[in-house]
Amino acid sequence: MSDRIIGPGDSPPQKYRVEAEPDPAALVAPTMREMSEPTDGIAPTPVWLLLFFFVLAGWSGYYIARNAGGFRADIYNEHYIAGAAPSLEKPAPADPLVLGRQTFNVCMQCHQDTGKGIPGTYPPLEGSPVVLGDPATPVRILLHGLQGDITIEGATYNGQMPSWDRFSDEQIAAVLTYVRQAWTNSAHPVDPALVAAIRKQTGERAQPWTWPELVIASKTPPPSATEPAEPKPAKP
Amino acid sequence: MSAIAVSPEAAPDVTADYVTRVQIDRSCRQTVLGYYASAVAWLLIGSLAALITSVKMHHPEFLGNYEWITFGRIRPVHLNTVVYGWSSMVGIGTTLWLEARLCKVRLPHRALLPATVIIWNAGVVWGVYEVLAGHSTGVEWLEFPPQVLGIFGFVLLVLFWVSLKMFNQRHVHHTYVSQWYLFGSVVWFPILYSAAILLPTTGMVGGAAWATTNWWYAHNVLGLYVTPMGLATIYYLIPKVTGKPIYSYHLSLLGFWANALFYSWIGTHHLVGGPLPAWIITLGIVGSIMMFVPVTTVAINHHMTMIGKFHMLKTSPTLRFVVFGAVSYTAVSYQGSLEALRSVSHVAHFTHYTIAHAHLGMYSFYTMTMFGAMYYIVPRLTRNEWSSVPLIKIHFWTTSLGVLAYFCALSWAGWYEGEMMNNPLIPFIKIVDYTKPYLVARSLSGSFMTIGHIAFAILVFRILRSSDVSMIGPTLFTSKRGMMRWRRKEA
Amino acid sequence: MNRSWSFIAGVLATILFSMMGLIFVPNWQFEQLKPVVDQNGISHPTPPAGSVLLGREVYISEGCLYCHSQQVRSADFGADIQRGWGTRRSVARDYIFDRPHLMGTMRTGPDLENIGARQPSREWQYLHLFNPQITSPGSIMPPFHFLFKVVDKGGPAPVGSVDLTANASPTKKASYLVPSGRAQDLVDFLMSLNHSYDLPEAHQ
Ligand code: HEC
Repeated sequence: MSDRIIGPGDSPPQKYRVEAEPDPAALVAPTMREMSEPTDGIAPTPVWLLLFFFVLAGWSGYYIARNAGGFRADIYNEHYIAGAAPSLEKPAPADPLVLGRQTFNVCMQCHQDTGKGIPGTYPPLEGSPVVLGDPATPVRILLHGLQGDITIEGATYNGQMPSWDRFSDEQIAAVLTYVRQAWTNSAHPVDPALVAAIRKQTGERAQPWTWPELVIASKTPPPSATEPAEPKPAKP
Repeated sequence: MSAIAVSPEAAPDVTADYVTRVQIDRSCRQTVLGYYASAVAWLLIGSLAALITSVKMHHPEFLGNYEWITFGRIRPVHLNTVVYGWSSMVGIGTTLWLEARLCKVRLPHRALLPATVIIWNAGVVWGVYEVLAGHSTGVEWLEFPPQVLGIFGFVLLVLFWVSLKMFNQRHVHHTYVSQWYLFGSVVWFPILYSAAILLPTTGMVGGAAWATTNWWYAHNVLGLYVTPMGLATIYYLIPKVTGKPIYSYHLSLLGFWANALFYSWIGTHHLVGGPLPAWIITLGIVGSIMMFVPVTTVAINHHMTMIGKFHMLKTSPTLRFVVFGAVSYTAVSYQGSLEALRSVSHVAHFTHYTIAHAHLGMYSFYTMTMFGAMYYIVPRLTRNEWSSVPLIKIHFWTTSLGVLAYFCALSWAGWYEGEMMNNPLIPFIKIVDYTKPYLVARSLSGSFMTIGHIAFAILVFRILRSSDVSMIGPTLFTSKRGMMRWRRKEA
Repeated sequence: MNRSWSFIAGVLATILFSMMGLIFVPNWQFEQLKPVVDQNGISHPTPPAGSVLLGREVYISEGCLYCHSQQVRSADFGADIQRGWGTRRSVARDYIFDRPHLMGTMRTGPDLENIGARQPSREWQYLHLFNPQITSPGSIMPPFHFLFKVVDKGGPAPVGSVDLTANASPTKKASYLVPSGRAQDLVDFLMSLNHSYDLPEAHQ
């Protein structure tokens, strides 16, 4: 290699001298005024620092022993003890209003947290006669969905409502109870038994409802409905 | 010469050594300035991308009709330009200069190294193009097409080779701490980068293990590539400017190896609560907590060296930037260790809190340190002085206050965002609403930082271009107009 | 530390050690994971294929992952399950076919691991992607106008189109919103994001 190593005491190589500018002072001013290359001090490591490190190392050992799940591939929760009952899942809240509110997190995507819906597409739930009327109708809608136009208080909405039959009876009852009592709404709670009854009655159905079908369906009360079926259908 | 010494007490070193230094600087000139100039260009591009991203976050319709700069593309462009454009290039330039200085040898391969500047730039340009065109790989921090490995890998190998050569030919008996860090980063990064690309793309690693690979890489980029370069710079420049030896060799040693050992484990703290077995997460957390060891030692070393020299922060731009970086390093590392804990992550993960933390590291620590390094190194390479004190002041105050405001706004917003997210009774859209004012604050502080970058770019442009004029005396914060006489070099 | 090779060896050892622990051992553990078969004989998870795979590419290319995670945390760690983002926590087995992984690290928007179960309406997805303000006023999700065409009402409804009300339409007239092929793929992918099946290790 043509690179010559320059050490202190070496004379500058020829190549450099050729390139050198005539005014060395200005040329190297920043370089000349700088301090010598850094050196190391020899302050000892403080004892408290070493102690601190031992404490940390001890904590780490303890933490690994407690939280590594035996290095097993199937232990995800560090507090889980292999073989124990899967008890760490939070039970669903007992209060239907709380469960209903949690379930409503899903409904909000369309009906909004205000319950006012999206004009022209997703109908409002606040003040809606469908929500506040006979609970059998909203239960049917939740179980199988709804397609085609629906008219609420004179305004038409054409969005599609998917089916939520994967929700349990309790969950459907809870979310309807919540919706019937949220915002300015106030209507009596919905009984999970009603949901179970309607689920059984309409189990065969594969299509989403249309509004005219729902009006017809509301005329036949569910077999073991606990409440008097007094349909108060929206004017379509 | 003592009239223009940076420090009044310590005498400048005008022994035979300085001839060597002049020769070394000269050998570095083309390469290092090439890296620096490109780095500043990428800094500006990265800032622009950052601003567009930031504005899109509170005004999603802003430039919303252009697919090429939709949020999901311009955001990775920001990250990749600042990581592979700015940070890498300024880091490589500084690494080469520091290594040459510390080994007291001239930079070898002076034809190849400047070419690597072009090659690296080509890699970044290509990668950015692919991301904008929608061909991102979708792996965070590795969005560039995997073939870029060929380009970056080549440059990194050259860098390794050059470092090894300089190290083996060194003219010093004692290896200074900066040297270890630089050499470490030069060895680590090629391995990290090629492993993170090759293992998944060859199908050896997939599924959830791809995620651990991803975060092993992404955090080690910080810990084993960026941080070592930043720390090496701080370790070099604080004693160099103040004229004091670094506080303790033993602490340096402990800090280096503890960093090497623990940092490489902490990446999985980005997946706390995620779909990985408890032990992987636990190791990430333990690694993060053990980072208290290197961080505390480094902090003692840096800050103890500064004791008695704080008055120099009033005068020296280099020192002010570098010490700002050193203090941020301590802060960001402690914060990071705590953030890894399950109880903190439970709230802070997935929120803007993490973003604030990332900027405290990459910007407040690394970028500010590198600004300091450039303030020191560029005059030696160009044989010129910085042309304007006001611009340096603008640069310092906009960037430092900007990043602080950024950090505060996003940390605050992020923490509450996390708290709200953990309360299922708060509708998601309410959380979005809550963060909006802070996102606007982010855009404002980001614009502030960008103003600083523009001021800096003007300074760099001027010092690079006006190669035929020089000033008498260093450009300090306290320099008066009269001291800044311009003199034409008789060429 | 004056000999470079011993130094390099030390430096290499640290990184290989962590590679072992964070890449190879986990990968070896996850390689043992196989899909589970439910009572109906369907195996879960299923590898993405066809339009779902194409949609995954669109998801990556438009950078949805910078705002949306795809991982549900357990019931005692955050409120993911109570928010309806899933019925159980996510585990490594859910990701065995994911290349690359799209777990994400930000939740500027909600988690999408189970968006197919939570929002089964294609129509909603199209309206939302076209302009999130239509379905989610105040959202900060970017609009993806360029994945759609807006056609005035008058002619027959184009295949696969959805109705756009006058105030949602950029033309301010009731129109049809016609999704491009990429938008359809993307929504196919979103629909496929449904990890409601049960896994033995996911109950912790
Ligand atoms: C700037 C960040 C951002 C980006 C990029 C983004 N989103 Fe979103 N996304 C949000 C926010 C915020 C919400 C919540 C408000 C809303 O519903 O619009 C959301 C909501 C959603 C939802 C509804 C989830 C629910 O539970 O209500 C879906 C589906 C979705 N986004 C899909 C996507 C897809 C697909 C992409 C990429 C093409 C994408 N997002 C890109 C921020 C983003």
